[in-house]
Amino acid sequence: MATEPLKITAHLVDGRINSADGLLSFASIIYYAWFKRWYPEKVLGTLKLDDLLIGLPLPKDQHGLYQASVGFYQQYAQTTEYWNSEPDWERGHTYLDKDKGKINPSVGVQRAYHTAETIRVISDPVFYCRGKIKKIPQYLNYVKALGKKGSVGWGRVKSWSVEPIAEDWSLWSPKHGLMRPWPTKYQAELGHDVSDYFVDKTAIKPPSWQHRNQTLCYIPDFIK
Amino acid sequence: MPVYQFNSVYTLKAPLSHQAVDPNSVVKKLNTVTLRNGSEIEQVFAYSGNALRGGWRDQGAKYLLNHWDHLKLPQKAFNLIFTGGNLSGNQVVDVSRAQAIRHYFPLLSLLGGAIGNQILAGKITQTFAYPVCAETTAIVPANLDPIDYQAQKLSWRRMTEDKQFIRLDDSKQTLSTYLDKTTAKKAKSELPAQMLYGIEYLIPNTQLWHNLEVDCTELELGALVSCLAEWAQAPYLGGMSAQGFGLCDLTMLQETDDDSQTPFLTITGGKLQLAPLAKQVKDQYDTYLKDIYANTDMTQLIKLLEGKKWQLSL
Repeated sequence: MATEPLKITAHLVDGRINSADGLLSFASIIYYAWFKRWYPEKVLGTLKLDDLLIGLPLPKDQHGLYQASVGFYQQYAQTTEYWNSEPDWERGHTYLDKDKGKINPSVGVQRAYHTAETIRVISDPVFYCRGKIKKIPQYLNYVKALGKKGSVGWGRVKSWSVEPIAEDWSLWSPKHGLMRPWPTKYQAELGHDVSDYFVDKTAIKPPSWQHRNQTLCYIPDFIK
Repeated sequence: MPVYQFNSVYTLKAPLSHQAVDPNSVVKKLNTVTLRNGSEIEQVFAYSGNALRGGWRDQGAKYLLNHWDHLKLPQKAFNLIFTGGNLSGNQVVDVSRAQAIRHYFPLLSLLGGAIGNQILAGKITQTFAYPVCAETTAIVPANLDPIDYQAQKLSWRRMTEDKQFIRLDDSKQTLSTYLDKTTAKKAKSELPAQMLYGIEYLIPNTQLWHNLEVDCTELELGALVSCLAEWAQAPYLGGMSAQGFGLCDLTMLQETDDDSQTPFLTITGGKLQLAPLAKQVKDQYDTYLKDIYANTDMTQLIKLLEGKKWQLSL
């Protein structure tokens, strides 16, 4: 079955995501889901895979970049929230193997943390890609949260909706312009004026944390 | 791996104190977050998911070590079990250690942690716990039996009160008769060291809704039940339990495939009741802990937790 242009919406529980730069790459979301589906042990750290052929259900362009946009949304507020971690003061006397000594919460193994996170209050993010309408939802079922620290309670996704659309908006759209980070070195191929777009070093494909996947890009105006 | 989804309802039986960190304020205000309730942006009290998870971790660790005859741990292993540990150096992937930890410690496998220089991902996704009120109508599901939906007519701000506390300097009061003469004389000439402070709290009978999803084995689900079973012995949320705050009841419902809710676990008046699935996985976990204690070299298990060289069979 051939791929078709799709519009995907993540319906959030409370509209709060933990993201410093706000970029939500759909290719990265599918990349995570692909591992959760086929190699969950990799996510758990209990399996080492070398030279793995990754077959995401997204077609690639001539540069090997997935045809999938970042998430577009309206941002209502941006706040700073904190999560804390501190030594368990109450139970040391019962379960520590030493009868004396001091616990130093400033340094070392029992260091306490008061960590700031950037929280964005947003509308349900909308993504665009080329893909197979039967396959994409099967992968999205594995994605329960967007952004960082879903285990703490940020970015919880209630449900996903996937619908076909007439035009492919995975790279460029008449409504939003540029739809995903586009390497500055390929500027001429785009066929649109992108000189007004912000330029930053970011990932062009997953995994986004890998240095070799990062390059100088035009960044889409993903916040409406 | 099966996916379990739970909706929990905490009903406050005493005031709840869960404040934002603000060291400069004399009156400590409740922790609030900005969220989207449908299309409305609201600022609402929220009980942090990190605080809930931290509480489970503490209780689960206690349960585990008590089942291993109150096993004593070195500092690094203690920190990992009770707080999740912290990274010490460049990250690596040590597959065999990850396998061993997930095998021997279903609790750590469920909640995650940092072992030496390796991150072990947890298996839970959750929300913060939100009050059932006018500002969360689009967030709290509409079909949960334990919830009194009448509360959705009220703003959460009508579910709060302020309370002032006084810490008196007893050396200036009648108790000064118990001071020795020299100290009593000195105390008379000094200004009293007293303190007036206040807190904002959520009133009793407020309900909090929380959603949790775990993608885990039955043993790991048993570890989660063990956390709640231990917590049931003193079911308090937030701080100031010594001053009478935080007591609550809990009803935990399991969401099934057809979106219906079946009871999983309740804690009412400190009494724990387990539905068949919760009981089955907890019994399984208990047996597993006993087997490990009977058949495993505990010193090797501690080395495993400390990030040192270990020898255990899987």
